[in-house]
Amino acid sequence: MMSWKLAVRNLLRNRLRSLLAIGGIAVATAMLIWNLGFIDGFFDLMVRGSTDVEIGHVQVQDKLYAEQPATIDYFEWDDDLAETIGGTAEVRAVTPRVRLFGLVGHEDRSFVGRIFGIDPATEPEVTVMADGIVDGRWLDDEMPEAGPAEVVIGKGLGRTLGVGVGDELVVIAEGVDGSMGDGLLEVVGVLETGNSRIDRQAALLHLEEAQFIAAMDGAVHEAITAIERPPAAMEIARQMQTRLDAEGYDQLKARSWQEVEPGLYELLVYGDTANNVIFGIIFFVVALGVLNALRMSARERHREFGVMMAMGMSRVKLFFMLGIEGLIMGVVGAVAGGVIGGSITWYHSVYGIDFGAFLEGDATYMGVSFAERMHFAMDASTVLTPMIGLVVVTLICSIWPAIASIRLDARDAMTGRT
Amino acid sequence: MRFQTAVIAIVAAAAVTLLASGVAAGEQPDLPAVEEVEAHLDDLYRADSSRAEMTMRIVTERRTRELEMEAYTKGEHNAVFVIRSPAREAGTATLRTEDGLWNYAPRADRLVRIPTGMLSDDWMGSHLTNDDLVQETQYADDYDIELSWAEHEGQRVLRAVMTPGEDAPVVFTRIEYLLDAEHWTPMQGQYFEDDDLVRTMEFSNVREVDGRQVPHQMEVRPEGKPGEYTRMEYTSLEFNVDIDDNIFTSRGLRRLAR
Repeated sequence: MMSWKLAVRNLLRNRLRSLLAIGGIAVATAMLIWNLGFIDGFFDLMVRGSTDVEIGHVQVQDKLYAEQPATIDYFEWDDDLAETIGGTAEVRAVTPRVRLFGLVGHEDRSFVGRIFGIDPATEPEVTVMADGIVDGRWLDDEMPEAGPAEVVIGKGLGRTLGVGVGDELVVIAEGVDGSMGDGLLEVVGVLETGNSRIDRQAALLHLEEAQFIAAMDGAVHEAITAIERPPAAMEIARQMQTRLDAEGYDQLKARSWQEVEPGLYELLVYGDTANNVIFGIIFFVVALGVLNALRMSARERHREFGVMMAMGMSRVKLFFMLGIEGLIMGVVGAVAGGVIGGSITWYHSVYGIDFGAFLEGDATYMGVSFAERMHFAMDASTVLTPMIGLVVVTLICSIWPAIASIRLDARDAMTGRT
Repeated sequence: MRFQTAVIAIVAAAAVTLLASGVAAGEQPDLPAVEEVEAHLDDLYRADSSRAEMTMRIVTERRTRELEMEAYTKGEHNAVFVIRSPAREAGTATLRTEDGLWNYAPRADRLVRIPTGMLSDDWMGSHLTNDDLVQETQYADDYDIELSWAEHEGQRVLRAVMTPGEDAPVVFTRIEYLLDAEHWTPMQGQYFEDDDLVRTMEFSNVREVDGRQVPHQMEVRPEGKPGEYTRMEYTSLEFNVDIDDNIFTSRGLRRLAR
C-alpha cells in the first residue's frame, strides 16, 4: 500500500513531467485507435465493394467457368441444387445468375457490357446492388408481359451510352450454342454501387430474358451466396463443395470470395501485416519516450532513493513503487487516449470522412470507389487493443529504471556519487 | 462469307486481267507495275457491286455452327450481310457504310452500332473479325504492295506482300498472298502480327463469274488452334448487278432482314 501512496505522490510532485509522459501515451493511444478504425473501415469498404456488391461470399460455378468464364459453361438450375447450396451451414441466401458479355447500346453508340441475368427477388438478399439505385427503380419481380424487357444499368454505362430511365436499349450477346441473341430493353433504373466494374459496365436483366438471349432456358452461370461470417467463406466453400459432390453436382465448384478475388484477399492479409509493423513502430517510439521520462525521473531521485533505502525501505518495495508509477501513468494516459481517440474515431465511423478529397479525379482503388465518404469501422477491440498495448509498453519501460534504482548502493546514492 | 472473300476474289480477278496484258500469259517473268495493280484494284472496288449467297461453317474446339447467309456490296463502302439460317439467328445482319458498322438485332428490330474498340473482335463467333469487314475495302489505300515470283507446291506463283503504310488503321503488320501465276487468282493468304503468323486463309474451288476467276471457297485457320476453322462457300455469286441503295440504310436493312 505504501508503494502506491508513494508512487502517486511522486507523480504529483513533478506534475509537468508526469503530464508530458502521460500526454505522450495518450496521443499514441488515440492515434492507434484512429488508425485501427481507419484501416478496418478501409478494408470493410474494399470487401463490401467487392463481395456485397458483386461476387457474394461463396459462389458456385461450373468448374470450367470458374477457371475461365465462358458462356458455354453453364449448368441447370433447379430447387434441388438451390437446396444443396442454400442448406450449407451459415448460408443466409442464394441467388442464381446468368452472366453474358455482349453489346449494349443503340443505333448511335454501344459498349461491351457485363450482362447479368438476375432474380430481382433474391438478388437483394445476397448483394446490395438494389440499394445502389440512384434513379428509377429496381427490376420488377415479374417480367413485363409484353413490350421491352426491363434493364437496370450502371450509372457510368448510362453516361457512356447517353441513356437514362425510360430510354430504350438493345442487347446483343452470344448464346451457349454460339448463336447471336438479342433483346429490346427499357431502362427502368440506374444504379451506383461504388464498384466500378458494376457502375461502368453492368446491365441487369431478368434471369428469364438473359436465358432467352443466350439460348439457355432454365440454366445459369453462377449461384451467389451470402454467409453469416464472411471471413469464414473458405471453410463454408469447402463444406458446400462436399455437399455438391455428395449430391452428384461434382461438375460444379464452390469458391470463396478469397479465391475469387485473390488480389483483394492478399491486400487484406498484407494490409494486416503492414498494420502490425506500423503498430510496432508506434509502440517503439512511444516506448522510447516513456522510457526516457521514467528513467530521468528515477535518476533525479537517486539521492532520495538512497535515503529511503538507508531508512529501511526494501528494494522490492522500491521496485514496485517505480513499477506502480509506470502503471499509473500508463493507465491514465491510455484512458485519456482512449477517450480522445475513441471519440474521434466514433465521429468518423458515424459521419465518415471525405476520402475523395485527397484523391485525384476518379477515386477508385481495385474497382472500389472512394468518391463517397468513407466510414470508419470500430468496436470494443478497436479502442481496447491500443489501450492495453500501451499500458503494457509503459510497464515494460518502467522495469529498466526500476532495476537500475534498486541496484543503487545507499551510501553512493545519498552522497550523489552515482 | 465475308466481304473479305469477295474482295479478295475481286482483287485476284483484277490482278489477272490487269497483269495478263503485260505478262504474256505468265510466260514472261517480268513483274507487273505495282502502281498499275493498285490503281486497277482501287478502280475495281469502286466500280463493283455484288450479290452472293453463301454458307459459313464455324468449327471451334467446343462446337460447330453452320450459317446460311446473303451478302450485298456496292461501291467502295457499302456492304450488308444477312444471316438466313438457322432460324434462331435468321435476320441477324451486319451493315457497313461509309459512316460505320452496325449489327441488326432482329428480335429487338433495332440497329446497334459496333464501337471501334470491337473491330478486332470476332464476327458472329467466327474466326473472322469485324475489322476484316471494315478494313478490307481499304487494302490498296492502307497497304504497300510488293510483288515477286515464288514457288508454291511446285508451281510458279506471284507473291504479293502487303505491309501497312504509316498510320494505317490496321490490325495486321503484314499480309502475304500467293496468286496463281496465270490467272492471278488468290490461292493462299497469310496474316502476320509482329512477324508471327496468326491466321492462314486458303482459297479453292475457282469458278468463272462475269469473266473472272473467283475462288468460291475460303477457309480461315487461326494459328495455334488446331482443328478450328471457318469455311465459307459461295453457293451463288454475281458481279455488277443492280442493287438498291436503300438496303444500306437502317430502314432498308430492316426490310431486307425480315
